Amino acid sequence: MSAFRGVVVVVEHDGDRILSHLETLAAAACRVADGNDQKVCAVLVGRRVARLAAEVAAATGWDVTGIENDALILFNTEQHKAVLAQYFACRTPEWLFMAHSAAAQELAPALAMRLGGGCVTGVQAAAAEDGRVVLKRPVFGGKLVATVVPEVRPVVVTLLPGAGGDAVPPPAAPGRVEVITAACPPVAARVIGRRSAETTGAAITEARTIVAAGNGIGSREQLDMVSALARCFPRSAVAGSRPVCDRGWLPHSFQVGLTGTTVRPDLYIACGISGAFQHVAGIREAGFIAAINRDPQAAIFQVADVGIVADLAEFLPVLIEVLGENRKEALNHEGHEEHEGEKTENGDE
Amino acid sequence: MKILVCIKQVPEPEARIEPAPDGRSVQVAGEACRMNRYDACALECAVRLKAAATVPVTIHAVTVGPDGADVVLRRAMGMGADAAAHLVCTRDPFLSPYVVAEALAHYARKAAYDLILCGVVSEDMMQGITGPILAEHLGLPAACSVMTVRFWDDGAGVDIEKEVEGGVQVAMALPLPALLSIQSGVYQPRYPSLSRLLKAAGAVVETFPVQSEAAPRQRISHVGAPSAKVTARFLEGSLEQKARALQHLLAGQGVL
Repeated sequence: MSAFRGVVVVVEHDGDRILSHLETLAAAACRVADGNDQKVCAVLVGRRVARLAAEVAAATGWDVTGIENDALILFNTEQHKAVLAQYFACRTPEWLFMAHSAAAQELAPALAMRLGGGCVTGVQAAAAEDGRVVLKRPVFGGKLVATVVPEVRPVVVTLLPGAGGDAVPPPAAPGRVEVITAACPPVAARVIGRRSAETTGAAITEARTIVAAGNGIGSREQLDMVSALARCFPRSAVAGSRPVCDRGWLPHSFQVGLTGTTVRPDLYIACGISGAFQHVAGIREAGFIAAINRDPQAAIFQVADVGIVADLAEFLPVLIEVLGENRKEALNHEGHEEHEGEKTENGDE
Repeated sequence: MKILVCIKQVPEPEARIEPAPDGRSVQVAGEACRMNRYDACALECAVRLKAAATVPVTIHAVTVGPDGADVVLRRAMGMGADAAAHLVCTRDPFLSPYVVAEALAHYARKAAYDLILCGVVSEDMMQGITGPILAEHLGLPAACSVMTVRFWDDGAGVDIEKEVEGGVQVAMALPLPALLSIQSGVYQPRYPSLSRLLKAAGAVVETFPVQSEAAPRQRISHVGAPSAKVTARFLEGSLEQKARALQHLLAGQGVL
């Protein structure tokens, strides 16, 4: 049996709100802890964290430790690495869980190194099977799933939303809250400030149908075809995945995903989008997802309701024609012109 | 000023990838491999920093990989790296990032690099931890998902902007030496120039056996297809049949 005991969840916050997806962390931590007969607790690091610590204790039932220092004003990973490594040095748990976030990307591997442990990032399923913890994570753009066996302890794990499986029932009683003051050694890296994203095109947050272009469109010219497809739908907009926006084919304000915009259309048509989890995170709440991709292994087909394996350059003109015919027929049948409320907002116009 | 860019070779993104019969490794259709996209962005960042610098800058590219991995190093030289080193290891699709990071650290200690750049994540294993582990080995401050880098006028540090959730950019100042992992976006990799590629083809890429005593700290016990519980319903037939079937489905969803 490992000399390290327990599961500790490091909860991320912005000083005002909890940022981590607590349901995911709670479900994963409970599954791993129960399977190993261990206890779960949580830590929050910041300038003033008593209120947030109490919030976590109430939501999860865990005992929560708030670690405070007046120097922790702006989130600076170098400070958090130092404070957490110091805190855990003499009470190292077997498992440290964090939400998979930009902060965790910097913090998790460094903290694991300072504690002499290992780090497994982007875990999509964490559970205990026969007393052994099983961590599954997407690899090769989500085409395959690898089961990772950590061989050292502690293990710092970053969890994708939903990684704990079904939600656990709410706690019978809140956990205890303890707030301590920790030393914060000076660090050389300074945080200067934050800049908000470019204003998001209202079109993609309000559209009922989004036609999104991915790397698979191949060339900027193909965007015309994507726009033409969008025009087949009322209240539609064009959006893009990261590679398309990176190339400047669409502005970054049209980027859907973890670091872009989260969208909630009734219909999302993914054209040539591979379906990396960073993109999929932005379309979880879409009503119906249709995916068109020439790669039958593309991960987008794991989240789509309907899939079409085809070359976009060949398929989109056919689809546009079929949808166009249908629209004409419907209008003729109803015997009136397109009513004024139907307005197509195309992102690239 | 010396910049080290760490580069990984990955399979072509659209290559057919299957779990191997042993269930513990993978089979990739074709041998084609290319430079990890984010590492190409890191190299582009280095080349632009060099062009903008007021002091001489040298760019070294390094990779840890099996025989043949020097292909990506020659491309790196074509894009603007001044020299390249290949740390040769056995062919292993799941080489532990702990082994790779220690090998890179061993190499990086040979020269006093002011700045070490990596891609934010590899397209194949998608862990994003080799860079931060390397920074810990070398005791360097690190920032991940970096979008822009600018040297201070005195060359003693860098101002960076990094990307966090919701498209927010965080501005930081880091003294050098430091390690940055570069996100795609601003630094769209250039095409290698023909003259540089020709020169790179004949250039000597230094090779060293991987020196890493590191324990792997993790292993892959199984690789498989994603669980089939949620898979799209695939539409079959000719292009027109697929289009009509989709139109029918969308009409049923009330979105037309």
